[in-house]
Amino acid sequence: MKLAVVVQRYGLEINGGAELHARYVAERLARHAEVEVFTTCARDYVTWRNEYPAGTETINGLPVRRFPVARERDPRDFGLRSRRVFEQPHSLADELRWLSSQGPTSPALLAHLARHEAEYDYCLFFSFRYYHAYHGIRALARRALLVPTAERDPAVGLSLFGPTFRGVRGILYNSFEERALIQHVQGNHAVPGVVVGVGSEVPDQADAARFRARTGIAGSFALYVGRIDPNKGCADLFSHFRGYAAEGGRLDLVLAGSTHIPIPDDPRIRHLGFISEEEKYDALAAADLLIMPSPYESLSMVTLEAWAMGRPVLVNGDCDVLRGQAVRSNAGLYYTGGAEFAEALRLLEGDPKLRAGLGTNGRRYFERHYTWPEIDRKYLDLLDRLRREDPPAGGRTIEPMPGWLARHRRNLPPAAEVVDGAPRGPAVAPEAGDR
Amino acid sequence: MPEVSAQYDDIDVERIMDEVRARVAAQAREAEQARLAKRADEAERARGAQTPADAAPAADGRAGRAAAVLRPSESFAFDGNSIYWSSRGGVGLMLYGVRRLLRPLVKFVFNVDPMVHALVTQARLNAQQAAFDDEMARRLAAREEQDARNRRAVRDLAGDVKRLSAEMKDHRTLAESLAARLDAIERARTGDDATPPRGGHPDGRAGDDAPPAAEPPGQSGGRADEGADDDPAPPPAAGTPPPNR
Repeated sequence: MKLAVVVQRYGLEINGGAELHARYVAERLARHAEVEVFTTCARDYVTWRNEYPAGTETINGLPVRRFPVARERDPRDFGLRSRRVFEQPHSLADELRWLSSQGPTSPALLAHLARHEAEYDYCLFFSFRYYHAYHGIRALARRALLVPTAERDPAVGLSLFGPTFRGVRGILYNSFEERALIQHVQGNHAVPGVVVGVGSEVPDQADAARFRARTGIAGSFALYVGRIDPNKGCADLFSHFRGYAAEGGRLDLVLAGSTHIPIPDDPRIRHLGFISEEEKYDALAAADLLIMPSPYESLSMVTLEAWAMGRPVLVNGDCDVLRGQAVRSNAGLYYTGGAEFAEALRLLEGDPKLRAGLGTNGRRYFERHYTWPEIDRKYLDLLDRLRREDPPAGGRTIEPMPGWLARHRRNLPPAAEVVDGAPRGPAVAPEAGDR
Repeated sequence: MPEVSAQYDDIDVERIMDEVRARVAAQAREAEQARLAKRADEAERARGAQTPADAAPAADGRAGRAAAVLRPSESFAFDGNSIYWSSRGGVGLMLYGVRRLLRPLVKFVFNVDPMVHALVTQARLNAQQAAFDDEMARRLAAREEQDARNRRAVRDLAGDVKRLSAEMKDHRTLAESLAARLDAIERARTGDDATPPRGGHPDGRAGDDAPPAAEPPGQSGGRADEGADDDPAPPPAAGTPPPNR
């Protein structure tokens, strides 16, 4: 079997969620099939500036073919178009212009895929919202599988993605909440789908003492790992944590990751900067718990890694996915405001047995659903099923693009309204065998 | 306040979160009650500090502010001839005549009548609004004054109630003392200094065969001096039923 993995960015230096997810999956699938990666020359997801050379290189044994991005993103234009399609009634043409403005616009990548479609059994597209996935799926619908990595953001409600979600051969969701949202908004119940997620390479020898010796942190602490960014809920995290500390909370807060906002000058908050994978697991081993304040997550790999290390988590309850994971696993608490944050953190701080119990549940949950053999099995089962179901002439066809007049009719509702209309909260009672 | 408890062998995150939320809600209620109590104290202190003399100017100030808020910032007079008038005396009169004369020419270029009509209507509405605002300001001022009077009356009433309560307590003490004196006088009159304590036993317990003792005046629910003035007969001796009244 020959597979193409198509993703917006790719590289060892790229630690973004969807991109890292794509790399892990590509490297795992390479054990069972011939895999080739198609991506752009961009490294920065904001500008899509061409920073890698175009052409083919090998990364961890996989051939990676890069294509240039035709134009960088104009943030002002993208902001204006986003406001129009998310907040105002608009047309399909507006949405297509928004997609083009978002990027990464790489016609060369699409042309190559269209020319060589017949060489691949299936093409695995990552991140539904980008240019490459939308146009790639339209061009190769019969062979397209999608890993949407969708969060509860307005882009899910854009009409142009309806044919994408309804036209692919199969969808590999990250969570039950993601599947429920997409199925509610885009009505793609008929498309074969499975909730998979992603695994992690958890080292056997994570060393808390090594972390403490390296950083000089002696006391107990809560850890945050990831981009330090308001979009990740970090501004609220600082505010909630300072409230907790002012009321006598004993845990310190340790942050690991690149920062995009100023970190409060507070002796109880310690920033380590960017850390390696080994340091990350050492930090998790030393931490009392992990805090994940992001309101938008389609999975949160670091939460799964904390559970793999037997650490409980405290997550943002406004994120359906994180809350659903915490409830299903019984391995973490959640909060929906500063008072709940402080109360839950105080409870975890003062009760080592509760922390240990939650951590044990987390480790079991990870081992049951997120070890690599389990992830591999779910991917391979779906591919086998599709191959068996494939009609001789190929798979499903995608809905055609409407005509010029229909595309320019301003009859589409604001995407944010569409998403707001979808049910909130954790997905309850997932089907047996789906987990 | 209930303590959050967790069963470690069978952890249920939703149950723990319910308990966390209950604690947070209880804390919020306590904080809200404390905040309301503090606000009430502050308001009480502010009212206590404000004398009737300074209440009136404050009320005037509030009424003035209300009038300033409600009064239209600009108003104007306008009628059908306003666009032709000039303020230049005799020359102005001549200008007025010329403008009136050329009115058909102006109307040929554009019709000013709808604009004039709209402005006349607007001027009338402004005048009505100004009158309405004046009336509202007057009523607000009157209401503020009435409120200040009401507050003073309530404060005075509260003071009166407090004073009356203290006086009532004094009167009750006085009545009890008079009743005790009356009792002593009656005992002295009958020469019965060996009257046993109430109930017939020295230790105060009621004996099985002892009749009920006569209730001393002042403890019967009537006025303290009622028995002394209206019933000159001596109280019944032990063992004698009291007369019906």
